[in-house]
Amino acid sequence: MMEVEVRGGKDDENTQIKKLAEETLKNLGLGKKLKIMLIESDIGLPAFYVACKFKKDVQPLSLGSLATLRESSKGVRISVTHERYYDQIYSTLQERVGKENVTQDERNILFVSNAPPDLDSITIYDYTEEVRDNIIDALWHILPEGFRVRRFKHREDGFIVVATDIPPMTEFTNKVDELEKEIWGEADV
Amino acid sequence: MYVFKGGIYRHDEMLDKIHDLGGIVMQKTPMQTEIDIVFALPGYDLSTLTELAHKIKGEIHEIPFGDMEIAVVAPSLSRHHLPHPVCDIAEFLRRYGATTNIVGLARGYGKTIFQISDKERRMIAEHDAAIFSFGAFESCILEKVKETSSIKVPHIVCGGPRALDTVENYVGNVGRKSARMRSVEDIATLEEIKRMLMDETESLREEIQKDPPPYAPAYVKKKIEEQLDIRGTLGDNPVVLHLDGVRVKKPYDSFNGQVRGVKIGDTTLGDIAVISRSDMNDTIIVKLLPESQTGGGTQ
Repeated sequence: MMEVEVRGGKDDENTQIKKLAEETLKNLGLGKKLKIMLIESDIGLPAFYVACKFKKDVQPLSLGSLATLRESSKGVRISVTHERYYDQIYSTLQERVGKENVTQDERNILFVSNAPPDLDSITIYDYTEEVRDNIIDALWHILPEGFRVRRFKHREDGFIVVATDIPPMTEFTNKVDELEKEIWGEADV
Repeated sequence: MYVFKGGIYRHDEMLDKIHDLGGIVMQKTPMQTEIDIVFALPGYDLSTLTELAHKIKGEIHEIPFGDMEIAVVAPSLSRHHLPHPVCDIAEFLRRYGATTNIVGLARGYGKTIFQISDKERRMIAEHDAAIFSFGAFESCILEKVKETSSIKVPHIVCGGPRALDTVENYVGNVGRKSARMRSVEDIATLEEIKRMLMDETESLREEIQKDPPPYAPAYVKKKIEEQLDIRGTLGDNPVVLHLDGVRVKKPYDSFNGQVRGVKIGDTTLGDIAVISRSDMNDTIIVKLLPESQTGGGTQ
């Protein structure tokens, strides 16, 4: 279950922002994508720091996870099991092994001749980026509207954002490093 | 001000009775087989109407904000503030007869950049009362409250923290919402807003009663509608009641002469009211002068 932690403000304020964050993420179907969301407010400055870490299953999708691969007389037979990614699979394979080596037999069946040995580990779709975009969009719902000066620090499995309505300060960098150490164990250099 | 809620069947009997008792029908809103009739009537005649309403299986309720136009002010018209909680507040007040306008400030968000412009102040001042919905943080609300102190109309400030010691006209537990305010706690908060608004406007009503205008705004509304043949749609009320006048939702340049010429008793509206251009959608504001300045009336 996703964990949302809000700190820095008064109890009333933290409770309200926490409820708002949980409901917004749930409504957008992002509750199961996040391991932790940490929101820290410094309303004196004013600034908001938000650190998000994705769950382990949020990672780039490989061909092996979206289709069943089997050797056949016409090459590798690929049976697509996730139709949503069909067009990405088709175009990625054409790019990687050449247009002439990819043939469509049925609606969801492809044959690849001269297939490379690492065919099943080819990255078809960067799901992490989709989740990242959706969570960032949800954050603009959650954070107060006036905090439009935003700075990001991205990691492979998450990000930290500073939102404020004043010019960037050194305090922001220090706080971001502090949060990064707290969540990921060490700062990414 | 009262509202009759009942079926379409035999509602004409109710209309006849209101006319017989000297009441004024403000608005009729049919909804399939149901109808809402908003009317003004002296309280001592109400028992006769209640009997009839009971007979035709309807109900009569008092609507405390029936003669008021209220501004619900949001920091902006973005998804952060609309539809929850600003529209929830407006919708709740409309149940009690208020005509509500949502005013979205151009720079109403942020702690350091918040401001209310002169035009926005004038627009808010045209209303009988205002409700400001601010955010979840106490220090931000306190900054923003400083700007609202120059608003002269009765107003309430709403925000997230349950209580603010330094702000008298404050209702907490509103702040930011992601869903409709329909829990028991939320309804209690909306009731608190209604109660505080009634308290805040009570002194204004008393002030007007000490030196009232010669004709009641409801009577002026009726005369304007009759003589200018202004009819609204089901969702639109072309002449909106204020505590001390009316708003006529017609372009000022084309209609102000006709509005000034409306005959009321043995005088014209232009003689007993200040008629000015509104900052909101170029409508007409009619502010009735008190009896002490006009020499009295009959209604």
